[in-house]
Amino acid sequence: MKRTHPSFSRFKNYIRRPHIVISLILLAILLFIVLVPFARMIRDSFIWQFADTRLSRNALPGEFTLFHWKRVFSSALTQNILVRPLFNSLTTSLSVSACAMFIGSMLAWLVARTDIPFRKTIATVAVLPYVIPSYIHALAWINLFKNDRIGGAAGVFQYLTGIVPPDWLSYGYLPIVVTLSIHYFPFTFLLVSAALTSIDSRLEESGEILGASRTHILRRITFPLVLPALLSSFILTFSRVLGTFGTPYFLGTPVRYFTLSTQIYSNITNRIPSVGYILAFVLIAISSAVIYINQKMIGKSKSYVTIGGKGFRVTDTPLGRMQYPLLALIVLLFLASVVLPLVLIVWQTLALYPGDYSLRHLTLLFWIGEANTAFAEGEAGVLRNPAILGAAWNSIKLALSASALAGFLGIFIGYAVVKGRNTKLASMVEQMSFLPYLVPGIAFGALYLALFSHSFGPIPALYGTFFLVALVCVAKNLPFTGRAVITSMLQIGSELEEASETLGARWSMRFRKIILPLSIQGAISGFVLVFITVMRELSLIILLVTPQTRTLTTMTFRYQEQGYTQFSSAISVMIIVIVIFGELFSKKLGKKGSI
Amino acid sequence: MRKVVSVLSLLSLVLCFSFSNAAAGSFNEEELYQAAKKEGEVNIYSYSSRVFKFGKTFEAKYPGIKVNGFDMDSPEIVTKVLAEQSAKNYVADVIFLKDPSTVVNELYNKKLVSNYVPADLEALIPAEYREPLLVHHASVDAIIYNNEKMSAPPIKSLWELTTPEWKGRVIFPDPQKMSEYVEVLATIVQHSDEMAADYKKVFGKDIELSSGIENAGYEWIFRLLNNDAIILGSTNSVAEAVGLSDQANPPVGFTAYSRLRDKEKNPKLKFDVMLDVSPVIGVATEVIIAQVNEAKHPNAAKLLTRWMMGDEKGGNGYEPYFVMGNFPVRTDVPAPEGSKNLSELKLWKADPDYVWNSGQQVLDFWVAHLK
Amino acid sequence: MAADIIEVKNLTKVFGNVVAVDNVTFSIAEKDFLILLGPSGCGKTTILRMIAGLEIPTQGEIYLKDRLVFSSSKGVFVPARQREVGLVFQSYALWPHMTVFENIAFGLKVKREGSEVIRKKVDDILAYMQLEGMKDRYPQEMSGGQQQRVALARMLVSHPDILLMDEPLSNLDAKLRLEMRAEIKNIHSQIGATTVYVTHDQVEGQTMASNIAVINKGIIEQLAPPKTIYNRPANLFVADFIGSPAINLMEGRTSSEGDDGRVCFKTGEFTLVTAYRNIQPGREVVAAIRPESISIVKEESANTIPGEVRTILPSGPETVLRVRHANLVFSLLLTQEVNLSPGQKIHLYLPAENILVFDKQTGNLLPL
Repeated sequence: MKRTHPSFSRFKNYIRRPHIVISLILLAILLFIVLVPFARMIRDSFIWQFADTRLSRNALPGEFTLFHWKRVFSSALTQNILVRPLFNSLTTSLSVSACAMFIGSMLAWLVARTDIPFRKTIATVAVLPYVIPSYIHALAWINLFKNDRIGGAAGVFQYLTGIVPPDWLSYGYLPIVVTLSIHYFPFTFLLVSAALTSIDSRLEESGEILGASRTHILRRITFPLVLPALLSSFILTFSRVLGTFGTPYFLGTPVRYFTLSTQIYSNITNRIPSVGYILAFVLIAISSAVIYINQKMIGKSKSYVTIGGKGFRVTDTPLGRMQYPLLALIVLLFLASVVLPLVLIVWQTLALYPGDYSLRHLTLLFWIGEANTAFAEGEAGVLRNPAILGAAWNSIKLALSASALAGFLGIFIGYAVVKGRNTKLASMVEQMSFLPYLVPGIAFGALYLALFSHSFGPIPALYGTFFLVALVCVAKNLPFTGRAVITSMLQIGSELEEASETLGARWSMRFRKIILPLSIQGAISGFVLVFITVMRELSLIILLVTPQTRTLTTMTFRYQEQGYTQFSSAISVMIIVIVIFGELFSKKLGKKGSI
Repeated sequence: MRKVVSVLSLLSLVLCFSFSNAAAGSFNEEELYQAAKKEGEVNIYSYSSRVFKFGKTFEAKYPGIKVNGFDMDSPEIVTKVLAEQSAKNYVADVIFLKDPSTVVNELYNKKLVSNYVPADLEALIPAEYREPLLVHHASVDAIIYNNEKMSAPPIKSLWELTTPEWKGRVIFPDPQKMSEYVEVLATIVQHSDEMAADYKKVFGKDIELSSGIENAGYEWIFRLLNNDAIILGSTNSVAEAVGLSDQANPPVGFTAYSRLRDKEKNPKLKFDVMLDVSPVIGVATEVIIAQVNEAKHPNAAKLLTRWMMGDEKGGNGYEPYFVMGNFPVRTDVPAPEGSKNLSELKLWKADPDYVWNSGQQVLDFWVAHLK
Repeated sequence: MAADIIEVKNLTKVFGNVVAVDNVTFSIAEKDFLILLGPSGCGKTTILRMIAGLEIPTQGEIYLKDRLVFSSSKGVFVPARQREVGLVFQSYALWPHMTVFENIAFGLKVKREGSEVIRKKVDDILAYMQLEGMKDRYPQEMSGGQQQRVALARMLVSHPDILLMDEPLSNLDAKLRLEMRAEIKNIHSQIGATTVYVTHDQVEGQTMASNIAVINKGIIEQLAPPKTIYNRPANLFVADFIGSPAINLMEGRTSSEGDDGRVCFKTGEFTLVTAYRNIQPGREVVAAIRPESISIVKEESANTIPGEVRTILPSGPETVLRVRHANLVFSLLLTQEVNLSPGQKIHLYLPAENILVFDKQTGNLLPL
């Protein structure tokens, strides 16, 4: 069957296809920003570090050892640094993913497919919970449901009802799941509503004609069509929650509810990175398993090409009497997930004493006060504080450059992956670009610190530069933009590009005139996600920022730790405001570029 | 404000009094200032936000030199300095942090930082606080109680914290997060004999060690954890958890002695340090200052170091630390008003060598026995 | 051979483990209208895409207008944009972010024609396709038929010598499809471009093609003019695939009972005389007859089979009748008025000259 061909010309033909060239360039980039750090992580887990001389008298820095693996998997510590945190991580992540998927997809369906009132407003508001940093939700929960386990003043709930909230309501599993679900459902909402709006509702109507009930249509037609979007939002949420640090830290630690992410964080910040890396491997293994299962499932059902250059219609399902009860539910969700935490946090910035909400102690000191040694160790209010304003500028610069670069790379990744579907090269690009998603932020940051504080290959020592901080954000967020563009490109269908190819257009023209305009929507939604994520990024960059490159988040974390609630809250408010502006702005941008 | 004034006057009085002693070394302030002025600024990594206070007074005293104070955790400072040294991107000029054992072993022994003791202070600081790195002050971690609800310190011995009465009502700061509490735990283990003796004194019988446990120090940690101890992430949250008024059943907890200053900022805090607990009321740890090698502003760093150590000419660089719970190393500076001298308190001093060699094992023990 | 505009030699395409196109060879003469006909997944679209240059064959050679555009052995691959073929997609593949004008002008802009020229050409083709006044619309604002015309216009405006069409009518309703069929045939005869047209609709094949290639599982079962394909299908697959209602098939054996050396076809139930003379008796065969070749007779005679009417499906000028005999159901296509009712006993007449005999083993049509 196979004849031998002149291999050179075959190679020439191979290389001639633009997506192959792009894939190869992407692989080279990914090698440096993803694969090498990952390899370093593996290596370091087998090597004695200098600090290990404290752990074992036998430590020979630089030499091979299984010590760290034994420490994690079979030592007196195993139960507490691996087994229990692992169990907690799994239960919280699964529960959060399920809840977030349920809330997000129901909301997406209501907005995209029904006649619920104020759809545009709901769509705008629905992403706000994600805009609010998740630890704000955690802190709000504490303010509401704090019991006297950790001492101090009781929460509002106890104050109002006189009932002491039990531990399971105040800390641990339940609050972590509730607050993170509230935080992450916009993920599903965005992905599923994008999928829903691109499904021709004739597909659903045809089901209706066949006499299927509405729930039947939802279950048998709509659901399978949005299944790919649902599954990818499940994966994104799952691995995101698995790596989340802040919320489990605030809500779990008081009852010693540790998760793998909090263990990784504490091992790395305590300068035992090797153990942190091994725990990170455990996380990665879990996420990979989930993705593998997902791919098996998606592989069976086809991925649907739904936009094919022909028009389609969207018809709204009338909700009838359910319209207003459902709207009320949405309003309630909005109040709990956005208004309440925001009110609490703004109020906190105005309180002269932390935790004292009485009206006569309200002040604008922490916003516009001049440097005054009597308060906050002599720091000026956030709007007058050059260090904070500098950090704000850093944050904006970082979020913009990282999201632009990630969006740009994402378009190429999306193109290479979709165009080369079912080829090894394309799946390599896809998998490599997805890898950073699995690596917990703090571990990824630690790896970049270890790697880029020396010159390495053609790359000079980057530690201390803004570029390095941006680079780690780009690498970590590539899966966002990559996925977003892949999703939108899959829906575009490759025929639109092929049509221009048969008309004689070169690749550059096809890219400019066809691919870019059609995938820009996906790239922009990826861009927005990255912008928001980087604005709120903490664990990823905390080890990499220097005083010159520090961001609002690193400052607010520090203030929070030191107990300057007003400052940390004020900076959090700044973050939220910037993110909302960024979101609105990109919405405008998206409209201009939209079809 | 009145308090600050009185502290200041006291301080200057004391400094004037000790003037004759201080003149012993030769410290050419003017020469250093001129050299520092050419450098124009100084970057200091500090474990505490009080860096901004003494930074301001320094800038006022030495116009033309800007202090860029950066507030971060002690391990983070070590990590950053290691990275800067390896990347040859020297940002920090001087570092001000806890955990002397790590700094000495990871930075000083590798010649990444060096020691600087202003010449005029050599005679005023005991040798133990001058070598290998200059100690700025000692701080004490002790047990606090809610003095609104409880008229007197509720316990007399550390062992009482392990009794059923205090189940779920003892707060301990997270040693996985704050290195000084590794020092505290390691020091308790180091003094296990005294812990055993105290047990006998309190309960009238020899301590029975649980299986697999080496000594009374570990046994105390073990029992504390088994007594449903609450672990919090920062010392100020301990102060708040213990000290906030209107609590029905407030807990007790370990925290930094110097948290007493929080009471000034927040009148709702009502707590005090227990000063009569056996075998000790707490553990003293050190805060050190080191000069970073290859620093871009070495002279400004030295001048700032000198300023931080306090000045006999009416300057107040040490003032932010002249508070209850922080103990100056200068023999010519007394403890702040209302405070006792370090030597008057029943304390164990953390031993950097012991902490370096055994601290991690103690921490491992802690982690392994967390419930 | 010089007249062959498209020549495909030993073309093979393998996707993973699946052989989509298996060693296919054919050629198309100038101005020919070839239809690639086959069930979905048979590889017909893959062949078209390989001709267009959108798919790289695993093996074989392709010549377009005597120019070698692909050869696996010589390592030649001319990409689609340099092949100068026009392609219409099943989905039309109109760019949703461009107006009708921009869609059609795209190919001209690629060729760097002047904007005046472009405007003129686009206007002409819009007029030709009866799309005047639509040039500022976006595709999604148009009906399916209009979108189809735009897709055709976009291809035709550059005057390619070779037109490739991939099921262009499958998304249209029946009336429009009929109209567009005529239109495409009309366009073909007017501009005379060599056309390769992929469809699974055999009626399109019958009405439009000068030649039909019936494709199944990656190979060409038969390549011949429509009449031949219909009347003398090369094998059972072609026989069964072409024609609606489907051809009637009967399994049985041959015998030598007929007069003048004519072969008879025997089942357990009945015997039919055929026009065949060269089949040895006792061979296992499948006999086939088109529904319109069967007629209803009142009395039993030679080549009649008794049956019972099952269903009557009148549709305007034609009526489809289903008649059962033992465990066989015959389809009849009658053009005259039918006065029957279900359950009625009738006799079917199967003329000997209309009976096709296939070898049961190979499925191939046996020679007369």
